[in-house]
Amino acid sequence: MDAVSVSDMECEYYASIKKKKLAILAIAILSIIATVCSLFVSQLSTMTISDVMDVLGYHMTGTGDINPVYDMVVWDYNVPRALLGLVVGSSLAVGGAVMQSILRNPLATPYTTGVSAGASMGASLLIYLDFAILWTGGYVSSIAINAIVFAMIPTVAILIVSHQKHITPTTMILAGIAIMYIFSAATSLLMLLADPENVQEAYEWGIGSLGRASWDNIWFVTAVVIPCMVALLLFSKQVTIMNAGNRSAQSMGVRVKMIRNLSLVIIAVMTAVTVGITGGIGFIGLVAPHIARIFVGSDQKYLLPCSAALGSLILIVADAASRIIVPEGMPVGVITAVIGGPIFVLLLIKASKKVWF
Amino acid sequence: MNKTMAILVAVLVVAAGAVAAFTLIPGDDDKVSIPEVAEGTGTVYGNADGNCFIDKVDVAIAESIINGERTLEEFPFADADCSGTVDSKDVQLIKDMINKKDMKVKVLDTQDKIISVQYPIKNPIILSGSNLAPLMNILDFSDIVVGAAYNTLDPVRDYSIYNGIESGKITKIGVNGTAADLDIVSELILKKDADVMLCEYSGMYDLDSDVNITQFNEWGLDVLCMECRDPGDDMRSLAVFGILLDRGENVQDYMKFCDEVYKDIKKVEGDKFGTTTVLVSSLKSSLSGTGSGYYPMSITAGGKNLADWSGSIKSVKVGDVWIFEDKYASDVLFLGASSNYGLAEFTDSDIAAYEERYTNHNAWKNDRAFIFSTSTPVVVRIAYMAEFMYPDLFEDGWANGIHQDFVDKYFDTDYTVEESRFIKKLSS
Repeated sequence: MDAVSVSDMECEYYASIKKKKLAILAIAILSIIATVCSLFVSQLSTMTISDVMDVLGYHMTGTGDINPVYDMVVWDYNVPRALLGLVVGSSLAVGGAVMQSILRNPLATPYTTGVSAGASMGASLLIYLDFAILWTGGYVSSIAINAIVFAMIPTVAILIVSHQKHITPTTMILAGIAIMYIFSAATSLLMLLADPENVQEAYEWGIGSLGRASWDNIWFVTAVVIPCMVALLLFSKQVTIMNAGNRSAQSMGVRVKMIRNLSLVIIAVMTAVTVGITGGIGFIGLVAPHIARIFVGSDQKYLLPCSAALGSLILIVADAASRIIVPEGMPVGVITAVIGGPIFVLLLIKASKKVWF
Repeated sequence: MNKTMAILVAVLVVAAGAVAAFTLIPGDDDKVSIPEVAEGTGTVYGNADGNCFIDKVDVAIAESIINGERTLEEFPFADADCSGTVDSKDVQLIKDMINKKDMKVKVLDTQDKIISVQYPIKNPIILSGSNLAPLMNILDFSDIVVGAAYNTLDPVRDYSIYNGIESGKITKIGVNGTAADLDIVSELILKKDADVMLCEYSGMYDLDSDVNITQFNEWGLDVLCMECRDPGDDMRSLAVFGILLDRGENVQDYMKFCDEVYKDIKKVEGDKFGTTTVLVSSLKSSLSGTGSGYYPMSITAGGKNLADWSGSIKSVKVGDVWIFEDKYASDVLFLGASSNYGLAEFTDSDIAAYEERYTNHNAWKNDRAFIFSTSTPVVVRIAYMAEFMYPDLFEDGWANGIHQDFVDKYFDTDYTVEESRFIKKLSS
């Protein structure tokens, strides 16, 4: 296209697209830098930056003389942990972004719809009562299966509610919150019945941590989350149209119910798998999409990648911060809640007069 | 009467005279032998020698302090009324204690607080954790217990309280100390003359609510908490309870049992004693520190505990790598899990929870990580630790033998230890 023939409006449009792409690229690069930096954060007081470099060099080149303990700590703990942060952070953020759009509610996330609480309940059954729906021989995978099955309960409930007439997105959110409270109450009841030793274990799990990352489970999480995110990205055009309202979307040929139902199921699976391994890490799904909208607006085509990069960045930085602030280790969920809460309130105040979705 | 018969009668008469003279004529036995130092286990004021009996030795010690032959510093528990000096009042109080006169006595608990307690205890309420429960069997006083708080009851280990609650003789007052039902407690005080609440200082079971303690005291119910988590506390708590419940002989018998086990350990381990490095965990999410009962337990078993943090525990979350530092690379890991008697076994989730934390630890990699039951008595846990730290020195099943002896001696049930599993190797 000849530049002279392009109108000012088109120029502005392309500039804005370029700006959005640059923003996504910048956040993605920051996220990768944070991931690499997080490899150097460790509880081992004797391990230096040079030791970490040696281990990374050894695994990249296959040569060198390394301390086996440092090798284990960096390669078997820090690297999977950082990768899990990337995957989980992006999945929570993407899940939140899509849910907020399809339910047309700024507070919609897998947490506020009860999906996370359902997954937590499933995981708690194994931790507290030793009840596995399917014992795979592995603790983590057995917890994940429990979490997936129980995460489906609120998802199905939301789907059933959504088929009722005169159901507004707000009603669906309220139904989700009600379900969340029911599951939370059930989990609290389990705590009362459980061995006190397991309560501490489940409490730490409930706050959320990347500490369970290992080469064994990172592949499992990635294998589930990446296809789910790709599927959600494929629906991005339809979901963006749905922002204009269900009737408008239907008139433009979007199969609203199918997209909404499929998206909710995909988010539930994604959430259950991540919650099953990391526990409940709050606020990423809420805060990351809202910050991403500041940079790229509401078009899902840009919002999803930007949210994904931002979710990863926030989670990895929060995890590193939690390990630096308390070297003995603090669940990352504490940091995300402390940082996420005020940011979210600030966003609400600043953006109160703007269209959020 | 023939000659033989006359000699026999004469011999019998002389023997009877000798016996009569031996028993009737006052001898040296009335002279009480005062020990050089107080034992310090039975920390009840008035129990001057610190053993597990209130007797004439304690009176003699108090009198010797009054006479200036001994000092209060040597025998601090001679000061029965805790007035700071020993005088005739203390002597009288000790005599009253010997005569089991209804009275209040002062006790120094395991957190060094002086508590006033009814003596002798007649109708106790117990708040028992897994460490205090075996002591109940040793002291054998369930027949006078009027109320008990339990989270879970083990039908084998806690058989006496279990049966008492099942038959309605003992009233359940709640699931633990802090959750004691005040209405039920007040009813037990009014209707069953409950006089003392005996409990265990423990994160899970103690009466850490001062409000409740004050309330109970106002109602006339004394509250005495003791620790029973390590060999020292175990003996001290037992001795104090034994004195207050008039079960001194039971205490003495148990002390002998433990003493033999600990001596055996030292004898068998010989020069190796204290050479195997060890770390112990009693909870899945932490390792026990120097302030924990497991620190002295592992040392008594002949281990060299590598914990260098002063608290009772240090958190070990999944993904924590500090445990892999060289200074914590112990030869052996003992990882505790609660398990009932009966067909005791460890659950998959207990094992998995430890595996995801310690699978890369030196001990685990060398097949020397063990999961053990925290529900067994302290002396039994020490025996298991000793055998599994030094498997070449102890006969296979030695600790099970000690355990079986304990069960046969102190559990009033037929129970075969070998049918269950109280310690298990966690292979890499």
